Amino acid sequence: MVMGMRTSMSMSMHMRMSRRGLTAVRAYGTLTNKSCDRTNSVIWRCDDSDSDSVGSGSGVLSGTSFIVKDNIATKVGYTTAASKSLHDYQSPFDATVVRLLRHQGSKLVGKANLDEFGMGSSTTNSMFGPTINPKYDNEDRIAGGSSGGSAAAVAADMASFSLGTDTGGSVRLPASYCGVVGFKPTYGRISRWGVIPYAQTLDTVGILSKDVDIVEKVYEVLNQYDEKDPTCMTTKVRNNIVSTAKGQLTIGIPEQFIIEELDQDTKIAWELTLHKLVQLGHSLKVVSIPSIKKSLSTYYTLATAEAASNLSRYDGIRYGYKSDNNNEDDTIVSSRCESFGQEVQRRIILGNYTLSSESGDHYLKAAQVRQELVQEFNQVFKLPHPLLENELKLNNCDVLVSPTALSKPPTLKEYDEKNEENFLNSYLNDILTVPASLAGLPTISIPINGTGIQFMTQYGDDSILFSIARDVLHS
Amino acid sequence: MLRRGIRSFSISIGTCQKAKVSQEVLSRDEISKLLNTPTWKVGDLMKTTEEDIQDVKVDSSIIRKMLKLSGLKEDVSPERETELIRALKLQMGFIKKLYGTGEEMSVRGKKSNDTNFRLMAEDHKPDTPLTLDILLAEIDALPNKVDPEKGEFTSSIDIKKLRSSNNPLFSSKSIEKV
Repeated sequence: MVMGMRTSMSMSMHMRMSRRGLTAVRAYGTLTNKSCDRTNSVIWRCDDSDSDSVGSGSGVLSGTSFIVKDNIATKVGYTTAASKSLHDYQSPFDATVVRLLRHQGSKLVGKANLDEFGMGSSTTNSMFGPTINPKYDNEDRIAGGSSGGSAAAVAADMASFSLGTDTGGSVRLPASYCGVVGFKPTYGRISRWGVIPYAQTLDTVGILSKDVDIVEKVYEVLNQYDEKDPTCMTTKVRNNIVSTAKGQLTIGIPEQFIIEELDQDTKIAWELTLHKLVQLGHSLKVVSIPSIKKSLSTYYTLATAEAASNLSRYDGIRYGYKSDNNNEDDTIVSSRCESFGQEVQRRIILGNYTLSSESGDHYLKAAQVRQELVQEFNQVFKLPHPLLENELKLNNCDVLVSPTALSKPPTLKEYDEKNEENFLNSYLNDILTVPASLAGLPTISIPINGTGIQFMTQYGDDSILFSIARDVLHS
Repeated sequence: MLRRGIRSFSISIGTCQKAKVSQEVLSRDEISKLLNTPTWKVGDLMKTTEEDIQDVKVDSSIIRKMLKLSGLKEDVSPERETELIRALKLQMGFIKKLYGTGEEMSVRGKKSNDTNFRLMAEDHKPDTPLTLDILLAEIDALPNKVDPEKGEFTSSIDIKKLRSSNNPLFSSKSIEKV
């Protein structure tokens, strides 16, 4: 019954999408297409005839192609956030990032799968079914998430680069699992106009590619003020930022990232990276940032509360899924119940509970812990923080380095079993990525020895990351 | 040498100093030993003991209130209700880790909650203080800033195209074109 209904919806969606310049290559996880790959990374592909997908033909990105996560608005096709609640949503505008890329000559070739509304770290919570990691030919391993489709697509050479969103590691974790470069900019660097919000104090747009030079080039195109996004860093702030100069750097190793759950291969990759850094003439120091240990609780308090607020707009009235229930009093409730996935519903309920009088003032406490974490990061970096007072600095480190993931990706079965046992288990991996998200730090994850190693710098000091990544990758 | 490298952190500069940076530069030989000496276990955060949640009161009435607040159906099955009670208790056990040992979990209303830390320049280093004159000037300038992409012109966004089944009369008002 359910399968039949899903197939029917998929087919009608396929036909509509074709008319809008996109082709559904797989929908609801049931409709297969001979042209589609086993990864299920790209959920819509652009038709060549569609003028809205083609770039200007000239510009610094001429000759490149890109795929965007399906929570980033495009005029061509639909923008669903992998949620039934937006299954037929047609954006009347392009997100600023899409407009800038097309203006510089890059061609949009498709839209990528994700965890519904970006909530997840596996790309298994999607109405289109799970994305399978292309790195493993004979095993169904997860691609990471929530930008798993974006990472798998570039790993499978479907485009020169892709865009994802990173709220707590959603670009870096899939980049690590799929063996590509994943970059999360400083919070506020890249416009979020046209990005479907999940947690607005944390959301960023990130870039993924096999080639760090392309990531840098795309970053340079997107790194500009956008007045449409009120959280976008102003030109004045940008102009006041001091950048780390190339040369001999001091690299910090946060001891709170040396955790028991790191597997042996990950530790070997981290060690190899540190040896390379020493060979390149940099020096290493151990750093202690105590609030990292509280970062997971902080993140999931803030993110679920913000998600509960952001997702209250999906009411089935003006756009998105509307229930067939004809009882007007129940329209909103029925539409939300029928269209949100289980994980999204759980996070909304958890967020509302966290904010409620039954629970306590935990959002406020989490914001305070976040502030302490930001201050501690600021104390270890040499550069001044462009937004904060800097009198308590230790003036020691230029860059921090750690693994991006605890281990290689689990199989879909292993992931589901762990999650069923305790849903908090799916938060484990985030311990390595969430601290930089809470502090808004720019971070790049690069593939080293089969896993991802990430570099973090001071708030606003994005550019030096590409140089470090290039040096380590090429040494 | 390694232990000294890890433990002999610089003395904090001020009373609020919590982060530390070791003074010694690590040699290659020390790296391996460092990475093989874990400082903690993340899995411990996920473990919630009965003691952690003994004060957490989550029952059927709270579940129904949360479902209502979330715009979701309140008449859930007993199995779903049990699942949600467990989820909220686990979440509270997890949130408890925000607080230090012996620190009381805060109760709403005990202190001001009108501040919130964000990474926005205007929260930390505001450009120019907002005055009534600036505010009025900004309001006067609004008509020149209407943007069709934001749906600020009449008919600049076709409500029917947001969902084909939409009744065009069923729409919020747009700003009249000036």
